[in-house]
This record gives sequence, C-alpha cells and structure tokens, in this order.
Amino acid sequence: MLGRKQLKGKGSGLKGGLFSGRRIGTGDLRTYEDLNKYRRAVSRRSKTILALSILGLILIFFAALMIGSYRLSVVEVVGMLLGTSDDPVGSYIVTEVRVPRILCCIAVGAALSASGLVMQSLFKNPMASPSVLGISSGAAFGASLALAFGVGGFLGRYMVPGMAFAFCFITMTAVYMLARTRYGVVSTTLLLAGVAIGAFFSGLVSLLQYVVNENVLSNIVYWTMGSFNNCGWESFQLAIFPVVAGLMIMLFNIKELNLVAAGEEQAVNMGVNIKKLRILMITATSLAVGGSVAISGVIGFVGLIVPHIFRMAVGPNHALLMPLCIFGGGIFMILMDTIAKSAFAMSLPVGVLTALIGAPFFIYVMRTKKKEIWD
Amino acid sequence: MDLEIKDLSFSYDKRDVLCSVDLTAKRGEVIGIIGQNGCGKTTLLKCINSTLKPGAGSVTVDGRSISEMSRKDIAKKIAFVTQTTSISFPFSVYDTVMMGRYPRLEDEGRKEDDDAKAVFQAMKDTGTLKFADRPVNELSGGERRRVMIARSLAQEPEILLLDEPTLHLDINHQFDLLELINKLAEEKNILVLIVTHDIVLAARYCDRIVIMQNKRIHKIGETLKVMIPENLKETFYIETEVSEDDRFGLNVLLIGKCGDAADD
Repeated sequence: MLGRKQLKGKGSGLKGGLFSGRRIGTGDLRTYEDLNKYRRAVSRRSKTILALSILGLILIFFAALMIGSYRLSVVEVVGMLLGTSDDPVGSYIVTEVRVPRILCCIAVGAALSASGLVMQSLFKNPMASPSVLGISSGAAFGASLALAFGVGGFLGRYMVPGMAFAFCFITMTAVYMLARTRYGVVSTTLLLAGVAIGAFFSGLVSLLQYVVNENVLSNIVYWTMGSFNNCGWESFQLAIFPVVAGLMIMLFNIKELNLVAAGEEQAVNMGVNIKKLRILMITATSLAVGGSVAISGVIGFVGLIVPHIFRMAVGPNHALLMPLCIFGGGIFMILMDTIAKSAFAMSLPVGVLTALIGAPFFIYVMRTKKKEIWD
Repeated sequence: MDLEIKDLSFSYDKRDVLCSVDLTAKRGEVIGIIGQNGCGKTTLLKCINSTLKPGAGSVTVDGRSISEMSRKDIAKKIAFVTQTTSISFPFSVYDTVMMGRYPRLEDEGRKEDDDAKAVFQAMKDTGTLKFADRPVNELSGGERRRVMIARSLAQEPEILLLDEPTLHLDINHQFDLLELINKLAEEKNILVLIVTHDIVLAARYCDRIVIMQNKRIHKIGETLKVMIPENLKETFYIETEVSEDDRFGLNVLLIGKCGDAADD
C-alpha cells in the first residue's frame, strides 16, 4: 500500500523503496495540517514495519522449531507445544531443546544488534560493533576466567555472565578512553584501539587455553567460536535478565541516542547530559553483550550487519530503528543458527557462519561508507 | 540586563584564550562579534552556553548563573548553532528540527501538540518546511544551515548564539539569512550573538559590534560608532571606507591591506 502511494509521488520515491525513510508521498508541505499529515504517515509506516517484524519473528520462531535433524510438521510442533502429542522424543526435543535454543537466539541476536546500533551511534562510526571493537573478546576472556579458575565465584550462578559483563565494561571503557581526544572520538583511533584491545584479550584467552586442562579447554574453545549448541533453559534464564535490563536502558534513551548520533557537540548544546548518557550506554551494552557472550560465546559481526541493514531500510531514527534491531536481530540470529546447524553436512558453530558472512559485509561497508568512517 | 558576562577568562591547558571579558546585552538585540582568527570569539560563545567552563568570571542570564544550571535548563534559554552543519546519519529534516524540542520534553504543563507546533513554526520561519521529509545530509550547505537554525528556534530560546552562520553560503543566501535573523530577533524578542568574519554583513545587520583583539574585548558599542575605518585598520590592517546607503544602511567597503599584522 505504501509502495503504491510512493510510486505516484515524486521521482525520488522510486529509488527509496517500500521501507525507505525518504519521501512519504505527501508532496510539498505548506501548512501545519500538511506537517501533521506527514507525521501521521511516518508513524503509521513505523507501526506497520514493527508489526511486520514481530510477525516475522513469530513465524520464523515456529518455522525453526520444525527444522533440525529430527524433522517435524507444523501440526506436530503445535501438538507438542500444547502437550497433546504422543511422541515423547519429539516433545522433548521441541520443549527442552529447540524452544530454549531459539529463545536464546532471540535474546543474543537482539542484544548484539541493539548493542551494535548503540555503539555506532555513540561513536558515530558505521564500523563499530561489539566484535569489531574487541568488546566481545574482552567478554570472552571474562567468561573464560570464570570457567577456568572460578574467578568471580561469589556471583553464584551468575558467575560467567557477571564476569563477561565486568570485562565488557572494562574493555569498552578502555576503547572509548583510548579513542577519545579533545576533538571527540576519532574514527581511525577508535578502530585501532578496538583492534589492539581485541587482540590483547584474544591473546589472553589463548593463554588460558594453553594452561588449563582439557575438560576446561573444550569449554573455552566453545566460547571463542560462538555457538548455541549448549543452550538450554538454564542458559536462557541466565541471559534473559542482563539482556532485558540492557535493552530497557537503551530503549529509555532513544531520544538522547538520536541527538548524539546526529552530533555530540550539538547534542550537548540541546541539553543532553553526555557524561551520564555515556555511562548508561556503556553499562547497557555491557549488560547485553555480557549476557549474550556468557551463553553463546563470541558471535561476531551480528552487531555490525543488522543495524546497517535496517538503517539502510528505514533511516536512522532510533524510535523505529532500535525496536527493529531488537526484533530483526532475533530473526537474523534464528536464521543464522538454523542454517548453521542444518544446511551443511555437519552442524557448524553459528559464529563461524556469521564470521564468513560478516567479514565480506565489513569490507562492503568499509568500501561504501569511506566518507563516514574517515571523516 | 538579560545576559551579563563579568570578568570572564578562559584558558586551554595553560594558553590563555580569553582575558577578563565583560559584556551585557538584552533581548531583541543583534550583536556582531568580529576579530581575527584565534582571538577567542568561538570560545566566548562556548563559555556563554557553558560547554566550556571558564577559569574565572561569571555568565548570568536574568540574574541566574549559568554554571548552576543543568544542561537542559541552559538549552531552554540558550540555543547554539555551531560552525559545522554536518549530521552523521541521514535523519529527516523533520526529525532533525524535532531534536530541538529535547530540553522541553519534560516541561510542566506541556501539551501533546506543543512540540509539533513549535517545530512547524520554526520550519516555517526558516523556509525549511518544503523539505521536511528529506534526509538532512542530502541538502545543500545553505539549506542545511537553515535547518540548523530551525532546530535552534524549536528550542524556543531567549538567546541565540550563531558561530559563522554565513560560512559556505552563496552571497544572496548570506543576506537572506541575516535578514531572517534580524526579523526573528525583533519578532520573538531574542538576543542574538553572531560570531562572524564578514565585516560587511556585520556592519549592515548588527545593532552593536564587539571587536575582539588579543583575547579581550577591544571595542564595543553601536555599530555606527565602532565600525569606523580607524578601528578596522587597527584590528584587521585593512583600509576601509564607511558610508551610509539610503536603501540598505551602513556600508563598509574593504579597500585593501595596509601595514602588517603584528603577532598578537
């Protein structure tokens, strides 16, 4: 419906496409009523897009329940979810393996995508994301420390995510401090600081792998590859609290994120308390990334790819982009995990797949957004 | 007095940039601040809206000290249009102007459509309404500058700080912009401080002129009294002729360089 309206409108509507942020066919604006009409059209479009993304998430959730080495039909899956099925093995697979695994995918996909978006806005750099800036490596090191030596044992069952969170926070603060100059965050320094910090923590994780015994080793290797293979209900319960807390903080600061994304100096001039926002956002991303890394390890590039795709589609306004990244991140992750586990001769760790897709995407962004990156 | 700057000093690290600046101004005035590069013009604006904390002295608005106000409270009083008009992501013009409403979102007694009305008025005043739905980074430099001014007007400020507003604009747009600023200052009773390199425009459109030199206010007063060849020669080493044009007002003619710029 939107598409047709646009075709009738100005020429630029054509290249904009269905979900484009530009030119909602209202023609030239003149009166207050025109502006209100435009505003309503934008809000209608946002609601439609969000409704579609939620619908998409629900559909792919059920589709993914059917796929795996034990194939099931829609009717069977519904029966198993309702507890009316007479197939105990299938029921167990659906309710105890697939449902929690897919929920973990949603939590992790949402957390990484939203965190990537926040970092891109905060640093005003399209290349920023948890994995590119070494934040995920820091988290992996925290998690590995907890696994290998029980560091942070006082946190009880939250030991692994707690440590992942702590190291996320440390890494991100370090990267930010290193990249900051009197003239703001300089892109080159930011990326280099991320690479250096990431390499440092990867080195530390390798060191841990070298010194620990074999049982622990396989656990740590799992963390560095990124996978949902060990994700059950327990993982989900572990991740959901920090992830939701992180996402809530982000959602409560959408207006501030918009202002800062447009320009930090100007945001301050318009009344944004930038110090408070920075601390809030570093905490929020640390919670979200820490929670994700704790259950699935380092899954790279999700935080880079998802915000980019959606920003290109709907524009940069966080009021729409943030929830879209949350739902869309979930969809993307379920998709990746399902492909990784069932499309090839053997089940791959999903981190391998996202890296294989993400690295070329990284290069694509680097080539097409040169101006934004190096400005 | 509505804006009062007393004995203001500022230094970056140990390099002094401003030394004991005093200035008072009231609403409805348009004040031009001119001076050579590095004389502290932009720093002065940043101290006024408290993005830089002065080493000594005070800035008060209606008797209230800026240093004791929150960022939001400052933004309700003072809008600042910086030199750069670049916006990092392709926000729509409407979204960009709406950002100016940020400091007022939690105001008491605010009505639902107050924001939309203020944004509409700001866009109408600046002539940016017709590209409300366009991504701001696809606009030309002059259009973008007007969007930035629309955004600052959406803040409904009492004091408007403009840093080089005519930079990169076509000559006709420069005049349009200053016409607009004058109109806004009068209609909305806003105090406007303009930092500019453009002596001709400053002479034409400002009620008062501040000449800064050597980190201090060197000359201050009514445009007619400050924009005189002697002063311009002293500060800029430029020979000028100043006349009054019946149709347009004060006219400064820049003739040529005389003498050398001593390091100051």
